[in-house]
Amino acid sequence: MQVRIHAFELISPSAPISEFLEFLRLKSLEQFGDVFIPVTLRDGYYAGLVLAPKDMKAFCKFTKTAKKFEVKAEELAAGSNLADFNFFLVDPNTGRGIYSCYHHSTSLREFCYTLQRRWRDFKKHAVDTAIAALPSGHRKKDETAIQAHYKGFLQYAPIFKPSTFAERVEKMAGIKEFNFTFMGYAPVSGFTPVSGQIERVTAGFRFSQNANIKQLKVAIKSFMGSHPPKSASVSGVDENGADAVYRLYNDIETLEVFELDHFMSRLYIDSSDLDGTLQRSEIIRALIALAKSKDVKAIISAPRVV
Amino acid sequence: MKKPMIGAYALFSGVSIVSFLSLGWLELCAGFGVVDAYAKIQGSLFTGFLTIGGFLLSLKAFLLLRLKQDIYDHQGYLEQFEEMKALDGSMTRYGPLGELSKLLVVTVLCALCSSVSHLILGYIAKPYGPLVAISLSFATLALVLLCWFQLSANLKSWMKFIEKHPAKPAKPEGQTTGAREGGEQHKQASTTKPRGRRRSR
Repeated sequence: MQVRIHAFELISPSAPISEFLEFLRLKSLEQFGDVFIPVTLRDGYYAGLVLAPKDMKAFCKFTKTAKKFEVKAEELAAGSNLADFNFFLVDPNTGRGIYSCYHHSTSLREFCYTLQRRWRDFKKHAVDTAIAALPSGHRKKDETAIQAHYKGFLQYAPIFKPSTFAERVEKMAGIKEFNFTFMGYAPVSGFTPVSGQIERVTAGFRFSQNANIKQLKVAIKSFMGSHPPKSASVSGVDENGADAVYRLYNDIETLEVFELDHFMSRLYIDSSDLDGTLQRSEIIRALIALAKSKDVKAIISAPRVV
Repeated sequence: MKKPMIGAYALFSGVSIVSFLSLGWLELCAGFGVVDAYAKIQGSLFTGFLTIGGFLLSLKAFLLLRLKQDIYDHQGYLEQFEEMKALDGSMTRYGPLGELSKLLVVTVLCALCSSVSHLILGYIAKPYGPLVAISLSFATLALVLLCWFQLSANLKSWMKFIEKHPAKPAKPEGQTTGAREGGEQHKQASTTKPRGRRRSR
């Protein structure tokens, strides 16, 4: 199974994002809903993970040999649970970051939604702390000013691929499937006078390995034309030989792909030395190296154009 | 092209079977005395369904004629129909009107049969006769409701159509078609001499 790295942006309505990230770091040991969000500051980035313990103690083990396969249920020790983990890293200067996710783990949208709810706790904490720090006999105006500094709600946006659908299709080395949905007009009859209605039409094509890739690309691009369908996706192989799925709209940028087993083998978190284990984490080190690479740095560290 | 009457037949069959089985269970297993209660309203059911049948029969002729004249014969509808026929070649111009007519005919027939069944089956000593008659009534009511629903949909289409294709403006009050009307107007016309009229010598 693969772990994909996506890019996202957090947009603060008022207070700087760095204050919010610092709040998350201070509350690393606190459980928020069903998840833990331990965070550390390393090399100028706030890095952490979303740890989601599952209500599952047993899991299914599948063993296959040349002659047979065996399925056996195994149970964890008392006090243990299965858990999903998703590492992330945010540049406090821009609010942009990267997030790792794999199939069935906490998605990017769920993570950002969790941060939005956490922002409410941060607001309350920050306002209470600031008001408590005011000298006695302060005016109501000062409290209002503090509340105004922390007003609003956190917004987020996944970072989508910058290239167009046609450009991505052009670069593909192989196309296996093309699916699309468009709104069609169909006649309706029955007991009432004939009229038309809008209906959603979904269609898909699968291509063999022998299909002419150039003709396919021309056909797909001309189909898109000046009136693209409601949605479309192309599955195949990208220019680097990796499996790729490109969507017409809302195609989230995948910056890197790792193997989950490789990721998991380097995972270790100990809450008694939370900051230490996060600082020493090889996964976080890999994410920081990725964040500092030329292409990714251009996305997450470039100043925001207003 | 779809066959909408299949839905109507399925509704009729389904309701009659379900009501027969439910009433049968109530009468024979639960001992609810359905047949005894039915005996008290048997006459009313006969009259009622006869009335429904007659009413629908008279409504059918009037409604279908008006729909045909006001919608189906209109040039605007013909254009709309040609557009839809390009998408589905099996459509016919008066097809929906024919289906509505069939629905009304079937409903009238069911109402009359239901009415007659109360006279014939309702007096059978065994409980099955009255139960079949009551089931037929429920099924006919379901068809009547379907008719009501489809007639509402047709009226809605009619309203939309006449809003989209308004009729020619009505003539203002007092304008006649040439026939004499009112003494004063006649007087006015006779005293006014046409211009350029020569007296004959």
